[in-house]
Amino acid sequence: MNKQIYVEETEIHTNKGRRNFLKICSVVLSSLIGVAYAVPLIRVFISPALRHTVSGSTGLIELGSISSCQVNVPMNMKIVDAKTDAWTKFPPMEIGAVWIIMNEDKEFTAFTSICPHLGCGINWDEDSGEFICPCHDSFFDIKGRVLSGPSPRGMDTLETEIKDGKIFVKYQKMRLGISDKMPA
Amino acid sequence: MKKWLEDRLGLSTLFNFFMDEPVEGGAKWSYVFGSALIFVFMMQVVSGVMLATGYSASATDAWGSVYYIQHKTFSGWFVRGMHNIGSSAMIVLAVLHMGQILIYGAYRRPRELNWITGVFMLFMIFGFGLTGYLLPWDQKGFWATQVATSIMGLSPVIGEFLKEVVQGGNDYGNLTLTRFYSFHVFFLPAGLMAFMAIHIYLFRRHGVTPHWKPGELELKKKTQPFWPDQLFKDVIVAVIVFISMVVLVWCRGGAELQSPADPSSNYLARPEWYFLFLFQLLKYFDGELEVVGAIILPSIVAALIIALPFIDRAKSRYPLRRLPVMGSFGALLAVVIFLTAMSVISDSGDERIMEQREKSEKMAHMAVELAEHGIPPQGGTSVFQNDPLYSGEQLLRQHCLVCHNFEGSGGNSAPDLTAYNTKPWLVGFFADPNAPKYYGKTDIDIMPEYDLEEEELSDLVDFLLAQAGKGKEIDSELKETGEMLIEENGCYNCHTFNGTGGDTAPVLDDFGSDKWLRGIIEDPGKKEYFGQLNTMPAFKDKLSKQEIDNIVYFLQNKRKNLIKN
Repeated sequence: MNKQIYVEETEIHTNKGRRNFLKICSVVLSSLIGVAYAVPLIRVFISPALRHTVSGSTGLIELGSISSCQVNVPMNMKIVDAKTDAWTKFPPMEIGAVWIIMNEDKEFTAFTSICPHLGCGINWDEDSGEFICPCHDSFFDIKGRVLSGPSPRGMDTLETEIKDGKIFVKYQKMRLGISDKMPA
Repeated sequence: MKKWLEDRLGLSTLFNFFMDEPVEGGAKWSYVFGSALIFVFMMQVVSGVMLATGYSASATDAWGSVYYIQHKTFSGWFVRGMHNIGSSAMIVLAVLHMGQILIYGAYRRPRELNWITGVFMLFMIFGFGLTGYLLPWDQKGFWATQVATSIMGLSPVIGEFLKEVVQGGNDYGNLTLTRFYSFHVFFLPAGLMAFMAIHIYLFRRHGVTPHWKPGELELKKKTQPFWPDQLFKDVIVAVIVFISMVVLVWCRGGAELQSPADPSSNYLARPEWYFLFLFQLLKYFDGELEVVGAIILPSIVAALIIALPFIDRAKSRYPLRRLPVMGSFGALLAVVIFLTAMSVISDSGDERIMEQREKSEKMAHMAVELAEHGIPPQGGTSVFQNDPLYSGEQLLRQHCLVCHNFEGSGGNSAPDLTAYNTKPWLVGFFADPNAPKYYGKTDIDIMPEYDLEEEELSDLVDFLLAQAGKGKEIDSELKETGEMLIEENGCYNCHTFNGTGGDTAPVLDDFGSDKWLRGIIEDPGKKEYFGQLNTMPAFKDKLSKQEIDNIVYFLQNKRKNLIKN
């Protein structure tokens, strides 16, 4: 209705070329602002992925005495470590657990209790002599091999060291859901 | 493809719907402020969302998370700076927008509701500033916002209740932050966007208010489309606003982050610059009248501003025919500027305030430095308590300087702790143990003045102080001379050394070491230390072991630094 009127009338005192120029300038300039502003915003957004945000000790962590360890009976031991979580520095506290197994030759194996499937906590079932992940029914034998269930790989071993009757473990989180064991 | 999408999405119809707006009388630079406000608001939304990806609304974590954004996140300081300066930009543009509306008389019939929704949006912008200010949970935000909520508490009848609803309980804490955060990112944006939609709808309904001079026919003739004629001007202004903001952020190094909120400190509360006039107004109303300056007067002015379209009954839109309106708003602006200037001038002329400002600047710097090592879970302020140097000095000032003097401040009824247990201190002590700087003002008067030769004195002091160094082997020659001097000068009469000697004066084994100093602070009346002549209180039950350790650390650190230099 009145739209018609103004189109007709505005044609009189402006020309198309000038208006097209204004259109291009507007689009280019606003795109420039958009890009200029997007760069720092995106940098903020992806920043946590480019740095180490949560960290604990990288070396060996002392778990405690192994004197009570029995042959082929997995023992659950807690990982106690001081953790830095972005800005917060926590005093030493439990950050995870491992299963420690001593074999007949008095050799020690440490499995992280995190299931390689989706990261639930794995339990030891004494009756069946198997490790069981309660979330999605993955079963592992005492050597950590997959017996059945969705887990893509066996339980993850961790580096251990025995010193003065105490066990030390290099605690690491592994990537989940893939068939190869890789640090996360 | 283009047609397929257009048939389904109707994007160009939508675009035309928003952009095809006839601007009667043609595009004007004076119409740019509304669009500029929308532009800055959009920038605030995106930067706010990005900041929210790193912010934690909890009294223990807020400061740490903002510290992390500011110092440990790529471009974090810049985005935070833009968000901060954006709030000022909103205020400035809103005032300019209002001014343009006033001069053009664009609030008049039939645009009364355009004006009223606009005024409400201005209040919401102030609300954004107020709520956003608290979020970093630093000294400045914490104390300045206290003033605002206290004012809320002054409102008649429901004041106290209102205040507790807003601050989430009887005092500032976790719930204050969660609520302010919620106001800042949910309530206010939702409210502002709703009002913006109404405001723009009303603007489109009634069209732009052109200049007052040209006649209707001329206006019609000069009509230009919003896109691109007006929008081009809007974009140019957006570019100018954007660049000014970037330059300001760059020059100021982003937004400041004061040291973590400490309820036990006596911080000087000053609000953001755009609240200074309200803050200054409070100074002119004392006691019972406080409520007048804090609430009644601003409320009356706010109500008058809202009611403007109904008050202004002038026949013509010519600014000169609306002198009362122009005059009152001019006067109001002048008062606001005057109050703001008064506040700034009175602060910058006050030495005490400048001193405090300098001190808080230093604290802020230090907090950031300490946070570098991680912030304890107890929250921002614990960076200080966990720092033995800072905490040690605070404890020393609080507990020891009642009697002792330290670097020019404190009491003088006990030995001066400035440069305590350094060579000059001890040399001076041997020359005149009963000088007021040493034990002159205490009950201890049995240490005789020693008239040793310079070299001997130097060796003796060196030997004594050598014991303070932990685990360091003392040079055997120095040890021999030292032990001989102790023997020769009869120190054994009162002091114990190597298991033999008197017990009326402090033991000389490990003299000046951490252990020795800690022992004295814990229980100076013990036989090994000052025994019966002691008048200094024992601190072992007054301070925790950690606190005493911190005092020792501070004093020893001072000593080591003095030796180094």
